[in-house]
Amino acid sequence: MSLVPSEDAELPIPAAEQARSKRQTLRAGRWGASALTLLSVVAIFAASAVAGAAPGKAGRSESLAKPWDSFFSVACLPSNKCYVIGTEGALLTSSDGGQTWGRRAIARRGDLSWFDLYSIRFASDGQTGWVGGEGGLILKTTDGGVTWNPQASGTAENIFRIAVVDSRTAFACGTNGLLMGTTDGGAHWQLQTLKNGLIFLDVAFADAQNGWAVGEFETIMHTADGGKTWTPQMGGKRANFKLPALFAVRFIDAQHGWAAGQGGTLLRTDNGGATWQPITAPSASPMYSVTYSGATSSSAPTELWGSGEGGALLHIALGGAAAPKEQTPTVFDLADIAFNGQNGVAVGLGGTIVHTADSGVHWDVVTGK
Amino acid sequence: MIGRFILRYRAIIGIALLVITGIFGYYASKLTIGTSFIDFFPKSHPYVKLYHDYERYGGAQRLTLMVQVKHGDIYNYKTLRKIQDMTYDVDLLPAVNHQSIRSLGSFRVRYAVALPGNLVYKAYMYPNVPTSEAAIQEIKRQIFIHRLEMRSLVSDDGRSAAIMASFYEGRLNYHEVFNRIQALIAKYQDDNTVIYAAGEPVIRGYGYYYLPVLVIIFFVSDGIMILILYIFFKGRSTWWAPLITGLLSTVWGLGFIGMEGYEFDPVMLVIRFILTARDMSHGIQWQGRYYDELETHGYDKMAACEVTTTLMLPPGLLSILADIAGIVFISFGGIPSLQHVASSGAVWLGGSLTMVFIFQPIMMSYLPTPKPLPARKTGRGMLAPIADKLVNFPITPGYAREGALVAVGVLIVVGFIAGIRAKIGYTEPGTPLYRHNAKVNRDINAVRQVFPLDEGWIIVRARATTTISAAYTPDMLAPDVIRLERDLGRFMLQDPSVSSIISVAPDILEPYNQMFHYGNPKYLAVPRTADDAMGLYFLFMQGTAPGEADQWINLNTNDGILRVLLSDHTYMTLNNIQARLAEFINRRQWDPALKKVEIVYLGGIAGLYAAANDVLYQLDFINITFVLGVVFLFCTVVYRSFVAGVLFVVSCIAANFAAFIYMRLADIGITIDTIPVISLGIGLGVDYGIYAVSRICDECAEGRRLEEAITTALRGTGAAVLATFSVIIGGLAPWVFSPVLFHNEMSVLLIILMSTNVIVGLLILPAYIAWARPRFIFGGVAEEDLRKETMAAAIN
Repeated sequence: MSLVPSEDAELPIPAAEQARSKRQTLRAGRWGASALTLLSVVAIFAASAVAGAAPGKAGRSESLAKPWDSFFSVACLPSNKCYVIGTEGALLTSSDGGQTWGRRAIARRGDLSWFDLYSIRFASDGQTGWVGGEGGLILKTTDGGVTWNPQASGTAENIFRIAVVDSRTAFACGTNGLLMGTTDGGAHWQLQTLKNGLIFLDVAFADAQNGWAVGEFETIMHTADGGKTWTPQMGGKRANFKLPALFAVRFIDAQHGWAAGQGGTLLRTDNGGATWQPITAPSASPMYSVTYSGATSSSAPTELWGSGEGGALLHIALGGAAAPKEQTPTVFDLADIAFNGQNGVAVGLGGTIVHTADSGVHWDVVTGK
Repeated sequence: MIGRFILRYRAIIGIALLVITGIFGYYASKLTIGTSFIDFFPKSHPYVKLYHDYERYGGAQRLTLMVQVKHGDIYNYKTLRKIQDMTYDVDLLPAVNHQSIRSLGSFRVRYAVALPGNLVYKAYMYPNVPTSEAAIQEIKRQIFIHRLEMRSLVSDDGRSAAIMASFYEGRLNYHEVFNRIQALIAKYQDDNTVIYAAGEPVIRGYGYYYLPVLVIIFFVSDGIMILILYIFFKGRSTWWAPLITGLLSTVWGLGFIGMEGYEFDPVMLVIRFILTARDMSHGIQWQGRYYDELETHGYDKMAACEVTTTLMLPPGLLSILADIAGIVFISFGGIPSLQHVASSGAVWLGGSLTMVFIFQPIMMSYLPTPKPLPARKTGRGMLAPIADKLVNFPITPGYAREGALVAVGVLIVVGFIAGIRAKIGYTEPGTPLYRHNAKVNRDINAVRQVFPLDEGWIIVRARATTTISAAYTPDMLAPDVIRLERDLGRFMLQDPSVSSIISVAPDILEPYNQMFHYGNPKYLAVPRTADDAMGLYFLFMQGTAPGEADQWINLNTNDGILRVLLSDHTYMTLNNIQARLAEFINRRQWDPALKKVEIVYLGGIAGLYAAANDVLYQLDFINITFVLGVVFLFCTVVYRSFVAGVLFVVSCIAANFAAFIYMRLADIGITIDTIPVISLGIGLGVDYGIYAVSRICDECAEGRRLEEAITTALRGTGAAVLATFSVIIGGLAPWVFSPVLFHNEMSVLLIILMSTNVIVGLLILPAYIAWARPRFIFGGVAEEDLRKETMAAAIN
């Protein structure tokens, strides 16, 4: 069973590079474009077929991960499917909650070159999802991750995180003050690039109106109108280099949320971000991502998990007085973490994927050097 | 007659030759033992030029010391301390490039840590090895985190660590460095710690280590040759004459080497030995014929000297020209060491023309006339029936003789197939110079299981050369160029023989980009803008010693390097990576970055070996073609017969294609080391046939029937040829037991070559002549006409 990654056809390049190559594209003419589209469809179909037919096994990590791999984002769906993305258009898929994986490459820049992908998130329907990546790249799926189509993002900035509210509403953040959103399924992305040029590293929405974006210099921005306007809640002073960067933010509802960042910074709010209370973290390891787990259709999440530097996994029981705990199933930085029921997956540098099937009691390294 | 001329002016000519020999002797005393590694590669090949152009990236003289523990891992104070102390000691080795030293204990090997408002660089364990268990475990953790960068210095299982250094080529004294390395190993090795050494300084250094054994073998070989010489000439009073002229020829050869300033490589001693043996064998041929002529001329030594000189000079000249042709054409490849072997070998062999065919008769004319051998008391010896059968074989029609001629045809076909399938370059890891189980090869194999030993350079060079300024960012730091480099490295890494890639993108810019952005994993990527890239590179440069950063990117000349670390430099590996590089460049033609830079390959030691491989295959066939051409030309001229030229070429091919078969069976590749020996073998072997056929012609010219001429020639010249053959085989035999595998394989190869040549020269060629009766044997006329002319002359 081959685990060699398949290659999707070349995808249209994002805005900045689109502008650069506009003349060449025009010269190529309609026949060229048609041929490219046809080739793309054929190649995507072939790649999907190969990837679908050849799921990887946990024990075959050397074939699944390349030496230079970095995985940046993971999403797990109620259908038990999980998706991981990373450098060079890597897209890994699992149908069993993260135990076994198949691999393919999407977002090809040209022969032997792919875009890096930074964030993958799905709507609650499990069919609609977005991938954000290098140079303003946005890809969308409406068939549960089988096919991915590019969308015009209108930016050349790196898109570091996407937050999906529903199948039509999503938000994204990234470099150079990038904050943007769509309410029509990605047909149009409304740019709200801020002038201060801050790097926004995460964005989270409690509902279609209330959202928070965090970034360097301990910046927390809030919107109460679906991303039309953003107001600072904290930090954002560029001159103060000692302010820690915040990497992650997550809200259960419009009042309760968490943020995490550099130097073991851990913040909690119970009033929609009006005030943020520092929580003593178990270590100084920065958390690059946080997520909730333990939610059911009838109950709220019971736990908060974070993934961070040096393979640190942060675990906080919500609603109790127990101190946060930390475990390190790997030494590699873990960039993102996701849960679906008892299955959890964290991914990171060194091509690392760690998996738990028992709500985080035990973590197994699936891939990684 | 030339013989009469030489003897008339024997005093003047003799003194002149001795004076010239004295001059050569003076230069021979200036001879230095040494090895110039770079001389083993074709100097005009683009890869070798690339190596010289970018020598600042380190030379081919790399040393790798591997510290391996038998039990546990290296993460304890004792072992880590050893690694650091050894690093310091390596830094003290003579001719070491101090900036090239890399190890876990080196201050150059470090990692960056991001803190709020700060970026901190940390060496893993410099200046002090930590003593606490927690600190040691932190080193272990950091090494594991930085696996990709550290894999060339610490093994995945934590049992082995490498200390790497390179040396300045011109200043390197292999002997001294080798001894210092051995002392260093002895100092740090203990019950639980084994230290392995690999690299060119070690490989070449072993040549000096084995030198005393090689000198013993050399003298044993000389002793055997002298003994055979004494036995063959049955203790005649001047039996030692060929020894003297052989040695004087050697003085010419050695003197020329000293005069030209070439270094005498101990590993190549076998080639010099063959040349000496060859000189002696010409002397034996001459001396054997001289004794025959003494008996013919009633022990009149002047008459015997004159006749022998006149008769032996033409075939001697022909043989020596064939010998020289065998060695001179190897200089065509432009490889300096082969050019040195060719020029010095030509003088060495040419020395026997003057010292054997001119000086030997002069010397014999001054020495007392040898006394006749006492009459044999007993009858024929035990070997006489065998000798009779061999002598009669060529003239006895039948299945045996015709079958032998057919067998030669088969041998040519099989040899040809083996020849065109000859392996080029190194066929397996390690060095073919020494035996597979030799310490050096055991060490190399142990190290290469864990760490890469060979390195190829890919140079990325800006098309527009610029000078860096604040207002301009060089193309080398443009993000698309960095991405191109990064992708090239990743593409190369997919080849199983590529252990690791070292380049500015994965090793400096990407980790610095991450660290500079709060350690965020998503920034472990190519910087987004040229300004970012330049800023990060300057950040890196601030922490480097002057000139150290040039080993990554030279901003002023706008070029950078990707180091491709390889597990070996076998022909297959080198071909694969060259093909892979070509494929990448071909498939990336769409990339605008390629308009800014050009990708040039292959430098480094891998490039040197690849260059040699490129040249050797062509050189081998060009050399053989030229040698055969010369044999054809000279034989055609000397025997005044086109048929003679063809006959000698075919016999030469038959005899020497056996060498290809042996090389194929023994898995010996055509390398820089083996090609001179193969070439020499071709030239040396054809002598036997030339001497035998010349004698047959001489006997026919005296009116003997062909069959009688053949048997007379084989009993006279054939015996001398066998003596020559015995001397060479006897001399080569001790080299079979040399600790140097190259000597072993080459001596076996030469023994096979000489054996096939003696069979072809003494049996096959006469058998063909007896069967086909070519006209050139009879001076270009019909056999009966020659006999009538000779009888008429005798009556008159």
